[in-house]
Amino acid sequence: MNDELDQDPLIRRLAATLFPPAAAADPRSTEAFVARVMARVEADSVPFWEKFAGRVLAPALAVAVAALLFAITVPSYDDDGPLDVAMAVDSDVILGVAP
Amino acid sequence: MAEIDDAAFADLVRSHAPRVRALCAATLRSDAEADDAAQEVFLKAYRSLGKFAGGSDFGTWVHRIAVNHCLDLLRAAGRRRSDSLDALLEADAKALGAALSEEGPAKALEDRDTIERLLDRLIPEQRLALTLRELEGLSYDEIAAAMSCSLDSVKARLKRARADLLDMARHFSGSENV
Repeated sequence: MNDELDQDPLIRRLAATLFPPAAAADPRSTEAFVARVMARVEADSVPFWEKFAGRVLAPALAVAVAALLFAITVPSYDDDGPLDVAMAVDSDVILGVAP
Repeated sequence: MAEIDDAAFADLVRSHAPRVRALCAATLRSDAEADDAAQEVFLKAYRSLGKFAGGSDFGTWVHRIAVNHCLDLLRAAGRRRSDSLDALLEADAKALGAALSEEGPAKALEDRDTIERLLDRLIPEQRLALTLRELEGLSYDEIAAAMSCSLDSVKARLKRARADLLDMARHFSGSENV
């Protein structure tokens, strides 16, 4: 059951322009589309905690381990240590005071 | 069909992708937006497989998801009367008049973008009903089922969409041309 405007010549011209018959689906284009959909399906199937672990926990753990390694390998600064004494500026020599 | 393996779902996508992509392309016009929308339709279908009882055709079910998704996007985009008629008239009147003249069907195709701007001025429900009718050739009953509305609503939407298009086309092109 159509209304009278359905057959109006101008409506028919507009419809023919706006909605031309769809071209046959290109198989390669369809396959590429299927691949995109399935990639999103696969990503959507990953549990939330796995995504969180991969995006947040793993990088945070890497930073923490790096910080720990840095802390235990870099020598600490010791005011009374022999290295510090040897490196200390001899103020008497600079001031010209007799040794 | 509560569960399905990926290969079987990929086959379903392959079978129904052309129709869904064509609907999204005709409704949304932007190629990138239409492709993303079509992908989202099948993603929604995958997530909702548990709700698909298998009593109806899978293609019909996916098509309904596509219709609803396109409708949501059109509503969100607010593709209604955002441009003033005067601005549209000033920019496109001559081109629209030539495009709509009986002597220039080829010209109409060249100025398709101009005519498509008329479509953008319909409200989403009218635009989608018209798309389903003209692009897919659905009957009024089929459109009602796809849009989950009454038959009377479909008739009203189509009648209003056609009347609005005619009014706009005649306003822009001049009554003497049509």
